[in-house]
Amino acid sequence: MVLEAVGLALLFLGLFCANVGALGLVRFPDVFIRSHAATVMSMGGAVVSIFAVALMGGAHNPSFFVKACLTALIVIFTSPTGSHAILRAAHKSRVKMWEGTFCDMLREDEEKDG
Amino acid sequence: MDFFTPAILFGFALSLLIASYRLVRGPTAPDRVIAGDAMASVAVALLVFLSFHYEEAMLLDIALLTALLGFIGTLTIAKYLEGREVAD
Repeated sequence: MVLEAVGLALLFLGLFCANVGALGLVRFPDVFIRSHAATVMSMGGAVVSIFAVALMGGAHNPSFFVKACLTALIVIFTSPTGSHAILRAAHKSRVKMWEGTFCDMLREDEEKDG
Repeated sequence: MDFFTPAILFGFALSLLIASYRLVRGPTAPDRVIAGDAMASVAVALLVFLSFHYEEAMLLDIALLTALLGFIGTLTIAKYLEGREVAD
């Protein structure tokens, strides 16, 4: 009963994060800033929701808990990796940045190395 | 628990709907890929919730597979985009 209440509260927290992240995905000005909102969506939204459902279902069914936690672990590892790869590709292919950007050390390093 | 199910499903659907705006409109290709990646993560969470709600263990396997395939897809597109100029 306690586990289910905690899981339900965590699930609503995760849903809140997913919606805030989606809103940021629409409102933010360029790819590099939008990736922050996308990470809020996948980390704060998806991982917290999966863990919450694992708590809710795992109270009666241990194998459900293990499998759901494994899914959360996979999302934890793959989401930052994919985000990093796609942003590196975007930076390399010179996607236009927001005009308010004032610090781009990767570009400075590339120009220094030639 | 069943009392909250419509609210939970509505929350998942709303976040997917809002994020799909960036998937459709996104001016550059990385925008679309990032939106799709985040939506895939939320879809995995939705599948895990549905597996809990319907007490269907198979949906959990599908959620795991969706997470892995979304990751592979993102990496493939990143490799494809690297080094080519992206028009705005």
